[in-house]
Amino acid sequence: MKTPPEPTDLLQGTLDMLILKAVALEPLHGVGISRRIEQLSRGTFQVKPGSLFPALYRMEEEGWLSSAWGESENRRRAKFYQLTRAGRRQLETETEWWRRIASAVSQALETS
Amino acid sequence: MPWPAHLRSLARNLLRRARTERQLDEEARAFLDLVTDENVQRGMDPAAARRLARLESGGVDQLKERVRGARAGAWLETLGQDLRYGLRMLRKNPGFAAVAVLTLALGIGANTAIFSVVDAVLLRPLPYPQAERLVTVWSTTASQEMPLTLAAPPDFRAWRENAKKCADMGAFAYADFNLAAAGGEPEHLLGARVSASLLPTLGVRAALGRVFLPQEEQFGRHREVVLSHELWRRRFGASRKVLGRSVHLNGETYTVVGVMPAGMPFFDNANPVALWVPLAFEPGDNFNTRNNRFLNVVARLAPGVRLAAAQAELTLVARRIERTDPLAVGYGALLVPLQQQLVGRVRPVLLVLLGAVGLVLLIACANVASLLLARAAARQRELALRASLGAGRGRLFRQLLAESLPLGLLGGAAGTVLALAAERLLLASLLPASFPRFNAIGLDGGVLAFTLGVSLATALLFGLAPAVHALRPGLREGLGEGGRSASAGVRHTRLRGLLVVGETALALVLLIGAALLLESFAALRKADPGFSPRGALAVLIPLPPARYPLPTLANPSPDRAMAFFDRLVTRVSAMPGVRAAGIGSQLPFGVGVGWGKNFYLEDRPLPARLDQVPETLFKLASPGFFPAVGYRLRSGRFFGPEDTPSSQPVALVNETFARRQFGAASPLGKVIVLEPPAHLLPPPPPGAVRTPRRTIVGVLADVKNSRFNAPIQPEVYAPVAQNVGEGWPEAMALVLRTSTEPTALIGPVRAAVRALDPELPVDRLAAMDEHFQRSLSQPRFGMLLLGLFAGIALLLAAIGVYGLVAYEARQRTHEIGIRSALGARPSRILRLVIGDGLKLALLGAALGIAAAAGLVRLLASLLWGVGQHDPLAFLAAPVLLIAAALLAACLPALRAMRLDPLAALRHD
Repeated sequence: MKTPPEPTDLLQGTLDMLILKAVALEPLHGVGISRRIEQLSRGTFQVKPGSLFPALYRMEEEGWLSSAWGESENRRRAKFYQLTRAGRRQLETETEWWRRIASAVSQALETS
Repeated sequence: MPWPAHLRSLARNLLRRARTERQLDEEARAFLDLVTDENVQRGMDPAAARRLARLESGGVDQLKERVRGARAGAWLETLGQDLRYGLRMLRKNPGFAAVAVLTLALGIGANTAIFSVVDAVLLRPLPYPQAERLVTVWSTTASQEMPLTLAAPPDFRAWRENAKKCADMGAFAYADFNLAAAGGEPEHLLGARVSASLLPTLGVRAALGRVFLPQEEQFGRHREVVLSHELWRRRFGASRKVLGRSVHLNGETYTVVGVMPAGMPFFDNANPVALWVPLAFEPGDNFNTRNNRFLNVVARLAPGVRLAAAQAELTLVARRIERTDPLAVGYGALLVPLQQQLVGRVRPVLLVLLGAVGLVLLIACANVASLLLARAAARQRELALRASLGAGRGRLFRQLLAESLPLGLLGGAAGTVLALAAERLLLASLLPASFPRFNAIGLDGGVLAFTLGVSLATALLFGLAPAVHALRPGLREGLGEGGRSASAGVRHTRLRGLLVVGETALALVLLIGAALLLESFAALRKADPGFSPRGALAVLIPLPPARYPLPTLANPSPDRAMAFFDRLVTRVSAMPGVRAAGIGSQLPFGVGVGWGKNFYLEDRPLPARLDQVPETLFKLASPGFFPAVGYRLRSGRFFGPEDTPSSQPVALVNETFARRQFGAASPLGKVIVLEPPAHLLPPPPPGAVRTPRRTIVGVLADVKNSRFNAPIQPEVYAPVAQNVGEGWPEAMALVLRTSTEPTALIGPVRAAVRALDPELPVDRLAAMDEHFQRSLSQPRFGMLLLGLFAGIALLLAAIGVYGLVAYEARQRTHEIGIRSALGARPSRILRLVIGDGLKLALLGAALGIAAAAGLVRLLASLLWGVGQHDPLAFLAAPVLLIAAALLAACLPALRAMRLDPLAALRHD
């Protein structure tokens, strides 16, 4: 029996969307975001820190996220990220797009 | 993405670099700490946690590097970095940089220089508004010899009236003028008689005053003149009070009504027009009839009209004209775009030169690429290091390319300086002044933009080779011991070998082309022009009609002009050192005017229609003219003192005429009349003198009348003394054959003319050889430049061979040491070293010959007297190339032979 594909490689667009979803509810720091993504995807997606940090930096530059320095649970200085208004709109757009794609693909796969 | 945020980030990244870097550092460390904490929470001890965090994320530096590669403006930053790095590399290797920049400068500079000429002459539109709508209008005939002729005034007027697809038309004729001002030297100037519509058709407006009004074309109201800007500045002190002043032109009083703007070409740069007067005809002037075709016509196409449509309409108009006037039968009209008319004859040579410098640039690129490859081999370790630090393949590729940019740009800058110097040389001595649009040539914005583009393209081109080569698989192996991977070394010399083959092939193509042009030019110089240019002096003497009234059919009275010339010739013949002297209407190779005349021969059936009447070139000459110029006689005699106004009218014809009209039979004794048969002409006015029936008394050997390539036209000569109403040119050429150096007599001749008529200027007083040499100037120009470029190409290719052989010899020093220690003879070592290089050169030569065999087609229009596949060129050029390659290869080989074996063995 074949094993499901490794949960390591994510396309940039998908990662971006997951990050947006992760901080949709409340601001999180980097590690918190990765924890939330793992949680949301029931363990399918485990984002490597090496990929996460550049993605967060980039998305902040592009204006989807805004950041502020705060304190982590261990009283360490950490950057907390949250959605901007543009980011929220982008999340909605992408979610809608994904829903349509997903249903189309699953339909295509189910028809014999 | 929301643009404002993005732009802000971009600005911040580029402008506040230090602060951004610090912030990035802070964030990366904070993030790493977070991850470590996470691991500790999962139960690891702090040290292991930290190590795992590092492993998963790559460490602070890698995090920062990844961010840098992805953030806004990253590519710009890296480009800047790479450029600075490239510059630093160049500064560290000044020798390499100097050679590379110099090589590129040669290639790019040559391209810039030639492109500036091509741009000014071929590409840029003429400096008239919407110049692309301007066309010249020719009269066409069915005649083989002269398919295109100038227009007759009635035709011009009919075309203008009926051609609706042309917005307007104008006509002009060049004319010589004597400008006399009290107290100043009489000056001979070239002018133009123009219809009032000509300057508006061109779109030219006067800078001062106005141009002509239609009513000024009427005889009597025509004595107005528009000055050229240059004349106004030179002779009238650029004074605004010049309007309304009177000047003396050809003995008549004219009023200045306008001044042209500066820099307006009209049209021939060698002889710029200095003044314009209205084109006006006296009532009854024969020149105003279809018997005389001497007008240049320029038309402007109406907006939106294509050339083909205007041409079709004009052809119809010509047909309608044929029906109205029997004299017009057989004549049509042809439109040629004005720019093509002016520059068409130099297009072939310029395009060939453009191709040649393109090839030179390719060779230069090959050399620089070779140099870079050699250096890249030495940089294997550095590149491998970069790859291991995380630089992707694409990044390395871009980096290597970016490093060649400074080299390309420096080469372009140096090339521009070279081109500036070359430009000056070109304009001063190489380019004949008669080159069309000569005045427009210079380095301007467009040319500089071209240079920049070429520099960038060149940098990409030669940067490609080392970049592509460096990215072959096996990059990581470069980090190993020794750093020099044997397989990579072999690959790179193979690539260099390919480059050498290419270079030598291209260089050979250029060499063969240059050899062909050289042979062609030599043939031209040796070719017999049919007369003797050396040892003669020629001068053009214009005859102002006011004091030397032009004879017309109604009023033939050439005595004043005749008397003047008689006295002049007598005076000049008496001067010491003068062996013969005479006057004529046209000299071979351009000085003076010849004109075409219809004729018929009495010994054969007369043509039934006017368009069947043949045409010939007609010239006037005095008896002394023929020995003075050096004409040769094939049969019969020259004109002599026995040919007077009252003796039997005679004529001379040239060989071409005799052959065409009489075949092998002798024309001597046959009668020729220089006008159409009487039954085809309107009856002459009462009292008019009839055109004489001339007996042919001699046949002249053919003489080249213009460019060597042009076929020889049939010619008929009549004695000056017997000229009766057949026409009189506005100027006559005086020729003397001297036993001494011709230029020594310039002063005495000028004095003799002055003594007879102080107001007559002498123009173009020069050794006849000079005029003749000027006709060779264009072939000389092409040959010299192509030879120069072939020489540069040969030099560069030889350097390429040298570079490769020297490199290989160095690489094999160890091996050579062994062989020599084992007793190998020096000649064996020599062969070893040269062998490869020679093989490459031979291969390149073979390719070059094949390519040249196909490409010489492009030179066909420039060759004269030499076949396209001339064996001499195709043999000598490869021999030269191989010899140069051998020489280049021998230098390192000789060094190798003299190596101390012990030192060589220790070398690694």
